[in-house]
Amino acid sequence: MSSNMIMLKSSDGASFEIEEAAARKSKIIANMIEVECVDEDKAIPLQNVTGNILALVIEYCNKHIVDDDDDVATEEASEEEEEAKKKKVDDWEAEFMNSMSLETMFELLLAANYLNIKSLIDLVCQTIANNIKDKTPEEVRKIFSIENDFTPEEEEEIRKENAWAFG
Amino acid sequence: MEEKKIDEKGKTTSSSSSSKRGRRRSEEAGDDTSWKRIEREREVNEIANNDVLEEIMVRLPVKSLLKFQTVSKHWKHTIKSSRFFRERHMLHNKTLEPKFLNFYEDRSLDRSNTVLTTMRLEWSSTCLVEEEDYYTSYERGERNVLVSESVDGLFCIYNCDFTRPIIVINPAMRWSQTLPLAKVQLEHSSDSNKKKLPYLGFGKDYVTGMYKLVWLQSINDNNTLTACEVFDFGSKQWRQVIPPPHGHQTIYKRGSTFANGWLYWASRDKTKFVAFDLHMEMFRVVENPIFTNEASSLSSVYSMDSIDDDRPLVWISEIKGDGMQQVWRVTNQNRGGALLKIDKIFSLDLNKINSTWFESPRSSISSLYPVAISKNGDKVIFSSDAKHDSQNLLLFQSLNRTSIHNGIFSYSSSRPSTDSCLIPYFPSLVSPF
Repeated sequence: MSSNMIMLKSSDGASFEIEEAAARKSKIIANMIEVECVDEDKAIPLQNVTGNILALVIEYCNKHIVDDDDDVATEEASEEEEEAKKKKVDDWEAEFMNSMSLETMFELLLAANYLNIKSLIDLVCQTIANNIKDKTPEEVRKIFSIENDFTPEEEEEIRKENAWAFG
Repeated sequence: MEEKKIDEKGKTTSSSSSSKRGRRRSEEAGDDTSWKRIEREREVNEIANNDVLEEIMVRLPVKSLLKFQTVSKHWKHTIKSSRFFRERHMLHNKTLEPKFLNFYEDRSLDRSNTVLTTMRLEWSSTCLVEEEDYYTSYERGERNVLVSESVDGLFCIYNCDFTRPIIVINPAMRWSQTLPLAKVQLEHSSDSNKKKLPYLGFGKDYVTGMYKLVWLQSINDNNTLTACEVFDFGSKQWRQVIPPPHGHQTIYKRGSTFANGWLYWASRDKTKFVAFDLHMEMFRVVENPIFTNEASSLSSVYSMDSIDDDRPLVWISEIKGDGMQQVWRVTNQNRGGALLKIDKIFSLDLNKINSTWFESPRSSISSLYPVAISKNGDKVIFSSDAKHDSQNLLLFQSLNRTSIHNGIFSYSSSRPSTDSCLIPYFPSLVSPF
């Protein structure tokens, strides 16, 4: 595995150095590397991602390069080892998401979406879903800044049809 | 069509700004142009409108989605009317560990009821955890209530005494609908020497996406004459179709297996299956990919079922005279109904299985029926009973592919005492009409 370092630059001008293997978790950056539009001395500008969010993305990518290497290298690993490893990653991810505000999660999700990091999109979406599943429709509107475009009668109608789900 | 509309809506509304995340603007460096700022606002607003929101929504439980229909017209449209969203929600749920529907009769109330309890499985602790109860409207003292296998989170409940109509249900949505009586039900309900109704075939036409029910039955005693009726959820009617070719008698008491647009019945001739194309509504006879000649099948028995809800794949299990049971993975994808053997999933030595491992001990185990397979494929629940009796579950863990690990499953709450069976399913937003 190559230990090439590449530079990423956030929208607010912060620069980050990251291992190429970690940066390749992003399909966008991986593509850039493939078509060789990455200049070794120049940072890749990421205009849609702020520095504080990019730091989180990099933290995630660094944590996950290791797993991908292992998938290839240790096919013979015993089941217990595999399970222990998976649990370690799960625990890290839970901890990683645990302290985050919904606000930050949304920004991280957009960054993951922009950079096309599938596993991070999955993780953040699942965390947001777990976070909102027991909330009321009113709370969900607030979270997503959505305007209620139903008349009270229309809303009551839907409520009646699915009364048990509101219990 | 529907999904396109959503995308367009997302684009047209995305220029309005969200005041909620104004904080981000102040963080931007001074050299940001106003154009970039507008870009940023557009992007933040995307959460509420675009694919990313759907990415979150597909991960919400069915119950939450039903509740969130009142969020806005856009949400209601996505949840209720978008076939594209429904499919995505389904695909996501199929990637999760299997859930179960526990089906039993509850006689503890003064009115006995058929109860469906949805259950989640914790492989690590081999525990079945109860999620929600769902009571059906079947009446007091109803016996012989049967339940079909699950297709896309839907089930059919029916009664083998001909008189009761079929009820199709989606337990996750608490949705149900009573179907019109089939010809076989109408004709035999007044018949004094009643025969038992055959098992109902339930599947989906993979070309049109239409759900269909198939009742294949014998109309004389030695099973040489057959008739077949199909219920089409589009026209909401039963119609007669041409039965399987003469001379291929199916084993009615075993019911059918649905895979990828086709239904399969076991044939008296062990080297064959009777297959039904749910789109063309035509029967054909296909080879059994495991038993290729009559001689090898003489001392063997086999059974077939689907792998979770992975409909292009089914398993066929073969038990040889020496007590070795092989479970094969089989597919019919792109094969016009023909079955192809892929690989052997498990091999078990039934002689080594101790009958006391089951909650209701048996003198001998003649066959184990896979009930569900974990997503990483290393654990299987078997039942010693073809109908997946909840008292006869056994966990098989393939540490070295031949060992049986662990025994009985536990239940988080008290287990229903009698006649309960477990059917793998996943919760969906599907209604068949």
